[in-house]
Amino acid sequence: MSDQEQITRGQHGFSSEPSGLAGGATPSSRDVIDDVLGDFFGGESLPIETIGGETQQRPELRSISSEEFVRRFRQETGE
Amino acid sequence: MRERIFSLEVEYGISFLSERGSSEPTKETLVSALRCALTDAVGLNESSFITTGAKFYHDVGHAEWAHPECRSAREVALYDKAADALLALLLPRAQEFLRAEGFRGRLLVVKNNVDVHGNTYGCHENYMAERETAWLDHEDYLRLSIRYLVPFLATRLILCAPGRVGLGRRGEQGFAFQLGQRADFINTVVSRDTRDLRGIFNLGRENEPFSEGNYRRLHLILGDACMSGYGTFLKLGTVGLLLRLLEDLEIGEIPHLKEPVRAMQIVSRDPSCTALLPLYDGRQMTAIDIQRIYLEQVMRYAERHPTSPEERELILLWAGTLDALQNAPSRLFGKVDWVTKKSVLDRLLAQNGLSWETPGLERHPIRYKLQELDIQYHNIDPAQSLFYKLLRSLRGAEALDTLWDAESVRAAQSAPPPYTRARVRGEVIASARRTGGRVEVKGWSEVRLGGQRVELYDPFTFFSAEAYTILKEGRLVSA
Repeated sequence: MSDQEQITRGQHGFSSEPSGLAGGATPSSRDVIDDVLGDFFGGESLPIETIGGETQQRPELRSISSEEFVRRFRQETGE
Repeated sequence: MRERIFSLEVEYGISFLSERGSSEPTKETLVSALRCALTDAVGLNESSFITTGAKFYHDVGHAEWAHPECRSAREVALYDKAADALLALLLPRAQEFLRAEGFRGRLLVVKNNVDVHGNTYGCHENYMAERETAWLDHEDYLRLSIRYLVPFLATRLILCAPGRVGLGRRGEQGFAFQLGQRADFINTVVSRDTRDLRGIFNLGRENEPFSEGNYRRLHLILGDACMSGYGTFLKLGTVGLLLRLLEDLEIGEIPHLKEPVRAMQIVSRDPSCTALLPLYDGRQMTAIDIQRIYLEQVMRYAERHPTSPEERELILLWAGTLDALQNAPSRLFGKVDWVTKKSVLDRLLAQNGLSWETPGLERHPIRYKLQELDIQYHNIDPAQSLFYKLLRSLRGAEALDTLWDAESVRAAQSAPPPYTRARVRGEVIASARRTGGRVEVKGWSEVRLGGQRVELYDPFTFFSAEAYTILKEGRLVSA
């Protein structure tokens, strides 16, 4: 089968399992989830409020042209 | 343009669970500890760069990993996974540094994009792209690019989003599952910075191209970090394919969204992928419909132009993912992060006789377990991570990724991509580590060896005669 045929058939569902990534015979997702959930909460719980960081802040960029571009774009589209 | 540079800048959330009585280190201290561990393993003192050609540094409350220049989306997915794996390996060493400074506790690194306080941190994409085409100057071409790419970008969450518990920046709009992490933080179509107004399309790095000449840098800030290499590959690869169509001006008609920002939020809050999005011409389409229109244009393009094996693989994956989303989303379990995460959360709810529709779920004690799973999915430590626990159950104890085998991931923790300037940068650093020679690597486009400056302005340069002559002749003066 040519690449194009493969591509076309993939689009129409004949070969829609992403090739090479299916992982062969694998346990069912239900079994995997039950197995993992079964002992996931065995240890100390995670204090979720401590996870994360600060909102990304970057200095203004210096390009006048992109600023002008955005200004015009917003003006035209009424954004 | 068939040859392109791809890269990614990943911001990790970092935290420290202090032991009782121990003081709290700052984020900067935590990143410094990780950087010290990284320098010992693969880096240089006084440089943020490492032997893979990547850069790791502290960026306003986060650890930022700027990946080396890569030649393809698949290669970026490899280096992205290698970065996670290397950081995970170095956690114990970083904790030793912290302990030596008097901070006792556990260091956590999570690869997500939002915390429960409403902070967001990015996963920015970079693509080398043409600045103008034969028919259109820079501004007009930019205008065309925005017009063409925005409907695709606003709907691509279905392909590669990581999933999130909570609606609104701080979860104030409801306790429910949504596909995207940053969807609630994107508030305009086009932006020029990454601060107050975050755009679907960003112009922040327009004037920082990878190379001189007719090139620009497409810098996208709307995306989320993926745990699954499959997602990273699809995320970057589909944009790479569409850039080819744009640069050859072989684009077809696309559906224009009436309100792209609103549409992105609708897509993010619709795990069924059936929500109808209003179009400018009065019609309505689902995200899957819109993605299929782009896919069909790419397929027609691929009939007329040479394509690489990777591009053909991408087209198959894209088609297969859309088919699965429409007919059997469970086939994407273990590949598409949001599908995987939602499957686990749904199961936990079902085990407790609950569902997302249960009244008062936001006040039920199970919400804390759901939120914990939501965050632990992104923990980079394989011993703690929900993603890696699932991956090992699905693919075996050695598995590190959904796309690349463990051996390739391990190799990419120290070796640079072979065919970009990252190779010169990385090999110069590796040489200095072996010999103790004097090397300065302070930017992406030059290195200094023994005081001599070597320019690396062409990102496709993977060999510098000048640099290798200095290395061969041992002219790196010991520091």
